[in-house]
Amino acid sequence: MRMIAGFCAFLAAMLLAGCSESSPPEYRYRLKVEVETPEGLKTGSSVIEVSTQVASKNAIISPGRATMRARGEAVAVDLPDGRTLFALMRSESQTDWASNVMSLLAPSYRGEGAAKEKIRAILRMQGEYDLPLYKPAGPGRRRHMYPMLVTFGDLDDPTSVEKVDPLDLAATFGEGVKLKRITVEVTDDPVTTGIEERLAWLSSQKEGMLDGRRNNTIKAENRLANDLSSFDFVKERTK
Amino acid sequence: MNREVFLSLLALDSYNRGYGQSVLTNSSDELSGVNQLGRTIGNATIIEQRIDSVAQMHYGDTLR
Repeated sequence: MRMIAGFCAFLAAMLLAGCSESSPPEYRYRLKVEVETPEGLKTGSSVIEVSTQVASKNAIISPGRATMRARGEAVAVDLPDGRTLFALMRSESQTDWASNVMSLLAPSYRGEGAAKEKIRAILRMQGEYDLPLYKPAGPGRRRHMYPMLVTFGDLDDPTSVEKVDPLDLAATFGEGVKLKRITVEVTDDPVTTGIEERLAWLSSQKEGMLDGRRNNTIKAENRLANDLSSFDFVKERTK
Repeated sequence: MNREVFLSLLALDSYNRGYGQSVLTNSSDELSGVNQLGRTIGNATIIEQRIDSVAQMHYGDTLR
């Protein structure tokens, strides 16, 4: 009996060791959006923090997988006529864009320790990096590198969200308004907060999509509002 | 395919559909689950999924 108990204890210890995760250093980056307008250059920025957990190579489920989480909020740019442009924490094709964009700019590493090497490479990145609109992602594929850009007809109404074409801001905001560039830069500045002061409904809409539905569904009439959630504007609220 | 087997496969797939999905229905799709609505598995169509804050908080993002 004692041998069985000992074996069980040994097995449990091995399982726990296999599931343990290590944590490479966190990093922060400033996401900045610059817009040319008839009133001059308008900018907005937001500091986003990314933390990474790497599962042990002995983990039973997904050994060695790196899981990243972003904390921060969308960039808001105040434009003429009281309009606001938001650069979200997601792209057209990735809801996890904010936690991945820096790693997409850094060199690729393979094998054991790749995630830690990549984060060290990100921490060595100095100065502002202009984001390209797309990056090749294999044969015939390309990945959106820009965050999704949106605005609201009424900041108090989440269903009034409108997509903004990064190549044609004038179509939404009027003649003379043009996206100059979007940059990222590694920083030690604190994570940006306060977007709830602009979008008061964020505090009460912690679940579901902007159109009020619980799920992303093909039945939604307002396609964009049903594709977006509060998590695209702010991640890991501390309240 | 036998209907019972197909429904069983769909039931298994639905558990892992949406944010953090492991099986992609199109090579250009993302693990984060966007662009999945309207995709088909056999003659079944994906009409609903959960990708909101609750789904994302319970998962996490995967390094690319």
